[in-house]
Amino acid sequence: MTTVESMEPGEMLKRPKLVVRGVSKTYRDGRRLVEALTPIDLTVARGEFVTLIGPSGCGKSTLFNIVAGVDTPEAGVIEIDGRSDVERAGLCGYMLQQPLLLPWRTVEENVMLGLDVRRVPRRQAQQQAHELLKRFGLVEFAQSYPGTLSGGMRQRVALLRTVLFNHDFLLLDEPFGALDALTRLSLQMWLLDLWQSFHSSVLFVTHDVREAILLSDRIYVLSARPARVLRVVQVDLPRPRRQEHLSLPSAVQLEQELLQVLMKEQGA
Amino acid sequence: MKSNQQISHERDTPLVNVEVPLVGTRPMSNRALRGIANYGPAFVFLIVVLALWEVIVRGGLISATLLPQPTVIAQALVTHWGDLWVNTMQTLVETVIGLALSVLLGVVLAVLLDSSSWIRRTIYPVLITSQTIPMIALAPLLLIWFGYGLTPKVIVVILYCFFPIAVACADGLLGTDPDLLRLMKSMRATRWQVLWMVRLPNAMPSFFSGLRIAATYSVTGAIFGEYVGAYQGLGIYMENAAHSFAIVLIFDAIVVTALLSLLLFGLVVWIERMALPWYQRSTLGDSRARKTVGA
Amino acid sequence: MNRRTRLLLSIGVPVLLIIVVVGAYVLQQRAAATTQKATVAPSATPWKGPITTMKLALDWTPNTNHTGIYVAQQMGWYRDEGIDLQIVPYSDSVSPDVLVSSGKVDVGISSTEGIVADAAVGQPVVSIAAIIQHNTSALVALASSGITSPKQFDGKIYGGFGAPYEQAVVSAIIRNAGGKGDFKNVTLSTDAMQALENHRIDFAWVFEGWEVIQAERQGYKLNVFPITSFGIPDYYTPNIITSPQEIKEKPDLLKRFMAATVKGYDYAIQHPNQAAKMLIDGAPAGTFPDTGLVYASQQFLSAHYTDPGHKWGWQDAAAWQGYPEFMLKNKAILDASGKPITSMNFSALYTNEFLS
Repeated sequence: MTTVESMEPGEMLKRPKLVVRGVSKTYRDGRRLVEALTPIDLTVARGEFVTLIGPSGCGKSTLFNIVAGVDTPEAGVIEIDGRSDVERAGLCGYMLQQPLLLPWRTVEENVMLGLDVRRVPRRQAQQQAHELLKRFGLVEFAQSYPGTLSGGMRQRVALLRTVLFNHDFLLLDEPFGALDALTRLSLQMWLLDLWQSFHSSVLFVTHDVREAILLSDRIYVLSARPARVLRVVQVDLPRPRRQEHLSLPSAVQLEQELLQVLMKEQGA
Repeated sequence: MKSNQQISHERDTPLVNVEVPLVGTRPMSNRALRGIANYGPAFVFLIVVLALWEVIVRGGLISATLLPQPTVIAQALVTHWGDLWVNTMQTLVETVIGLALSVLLGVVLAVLLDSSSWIRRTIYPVLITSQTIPMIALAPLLLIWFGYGLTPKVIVVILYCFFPIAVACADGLLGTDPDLLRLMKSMRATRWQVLWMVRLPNAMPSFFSGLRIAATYSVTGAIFGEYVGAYQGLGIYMENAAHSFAIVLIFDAIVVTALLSLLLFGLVVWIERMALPWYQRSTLGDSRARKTVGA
Repeated sequence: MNRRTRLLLSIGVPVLLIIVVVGAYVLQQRAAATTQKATVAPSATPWKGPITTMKLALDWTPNTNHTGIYVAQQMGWYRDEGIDLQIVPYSDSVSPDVLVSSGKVDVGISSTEGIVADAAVGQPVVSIAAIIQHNTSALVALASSGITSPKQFDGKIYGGFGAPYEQAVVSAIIRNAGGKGDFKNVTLSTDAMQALENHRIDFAWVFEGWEVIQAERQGYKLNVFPITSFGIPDYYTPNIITSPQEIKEKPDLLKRFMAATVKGYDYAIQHPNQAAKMLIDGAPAGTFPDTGLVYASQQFLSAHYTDPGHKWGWQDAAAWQGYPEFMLKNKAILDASGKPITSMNFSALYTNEFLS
């Protein structure tokens, strides 16, 4: 079975999942016009894990909204699976920092949410959700309400919902930002496990450099607003990733490099 | 993958899980104890007030022709039960139909107000004005247009009750998390799907707030409607009693009215508890979980 | 319980309750209707021809002023005249005058003051019978207050009902008794007698046939000052009214209606106790929590419906001149914009043509 690890880098880049070309966005904030993104380019290859890091407020979320089809760009082209003319909404699994679980639905019903929107027959959707919960160790919470879960659990449920809707292409906007360090670590490992199971293409946003290095194949460093690409780096750490890899000299060096770039941006 | 099982239990502990019974007690008596804890104080308070009332009137501090004693009121309640029952049923029917229609109207209005801002700007002032029209001006119109039947009373109840429901529900709809709306949009949900799956359920706690208020006022609304002109009803019963100087019967009618209001209120609370178990379960100990979409 | 079940129950339970309540109500109404139908006496002279429905609007909750009507209904005399009389209940907010002049009801109950006021605001009604031949109202004060003459009302508190003529009438009474005519006028929405008994007001204007009798029954001693004993011209109250429209279009119907009504009041004059019972039976259940009051009031009123030798209901011109003129002079008749009018033809406000 072809897994992500066994593919050659060249092969991956041959069939990009996402291509963003020259996308810019300005929006109105009261009376003034704010430029959120200067023309920006990036790609995500099929099955690749790509992270965007940048200072807060640089426009990462705006870019995400555009790719997810929630917002429209002012200029530029976005291609998903080579098509730029189709409606982008529904082509990716979108997850924000807040898990956004519906409190009136059980965990299982929340995971089913995307399928309900797609009007998948209820029994089928239930079955798929149940399978997913079982597979990733959450089945005993299937009938619980989100209100009784901890933050980390909710984030997991939200991830499963995202993945059940579309495990091909995931847009994850700082999903672990609100969690404590230990929970975050366990969720990061869990996410990698998910990613490997489904061979998803992932576009991930964070401002935690270490997290970026731990998770990704490639990292884009964005400038402060209006965002443009400052640096693109390849992360050559072995897969499957482990927490210990962060202590490898190449990782440490990369971390320093990225931090420097970011600090300069923050200061600017 | 076994490692996942491990990880999922390691650090995360769920918040309060209400279903855990107290150590050492059987589930049935636990529920009974909780019932007593919830309603006991109100009951005791009521008994104390009634006892004080009885004593004060017996002692002559307040004239019994102004404020009859509770025992006298209770006695008359039993004696005149036949007449009271007929009139109570009338008022109850008016109230129940009026309240049900108010719910429909209130929710429809809330959805309408929420759908577009120019609708909101046009209709909202009209709604507010509808609440300020005094009955004196409205009553003759109601009587002349609709007569003495059920219709004018139901209309009056609707007038009193639809507004808190509409406003509360509209506020609830408005308060939907914008990120949640973005999420739905990214999943390509239609406007109706968003309304039905997210916004209306989200508005339910607010809706029930409004409904509780409306239910409390509904019986009084029906009685005011009867004053417009009616053959029977608790309002007419009170009017007859007043014109025959039967003060005790007025109080009997008041007691029945209060009981009806409490019953309706209780019904609403019960439905809320059943329809929104998630809202109730999270209320013990964690106010954070009360937010409609949690962290 | 999953989401579907919860949704179903949340809507289902209330709907079920509504059905149960409405069902119980309908059953109860049906049961009441069958028991009600049995009370009318069989007819000696049945009506041949179509039956006309007539609506009558009361001016107050049923009381002994209305006895004759209920007697005629219970005895089947309206039915014998081919009339199905529907007595429309009293409404707190709409007067019989409005219902009559707008054509919503055929006949109603009002007072001379009311009829004069209706004409002034441009919604005239016509009095077709006087229910009580002489005015039976009085100013009353508690005996314990020590007030033995209306002249002592100066400076005291009067509990009224917010009519424009109260000020003029009460002031005139006080002055005719030798006082200055200054008093504090407060409008009550509650029962005046209650306020009087609790010393919140000093005097009130009430009917001798109802409130005074009730006070006696409750053990309150009152000092009663009939208004006609203190210079107020005698006038009719209450009256049976109808609209000019009705008179033009249905004179025959009105004649038949009055024929039965006269019989009813004549019966009440002769048989007060039986008449009182018919009033109690004919009014909606629960109207009279204290039936003793009804009997006592009927005893008083039966003797006052008319004078000996005088046919019940007939109106004299004098009664329609004196008091209305008094009101006019005291600027107590207001037009639709609240301004006092200066002249009116009072003779157009009444007619005896429907009495035989």
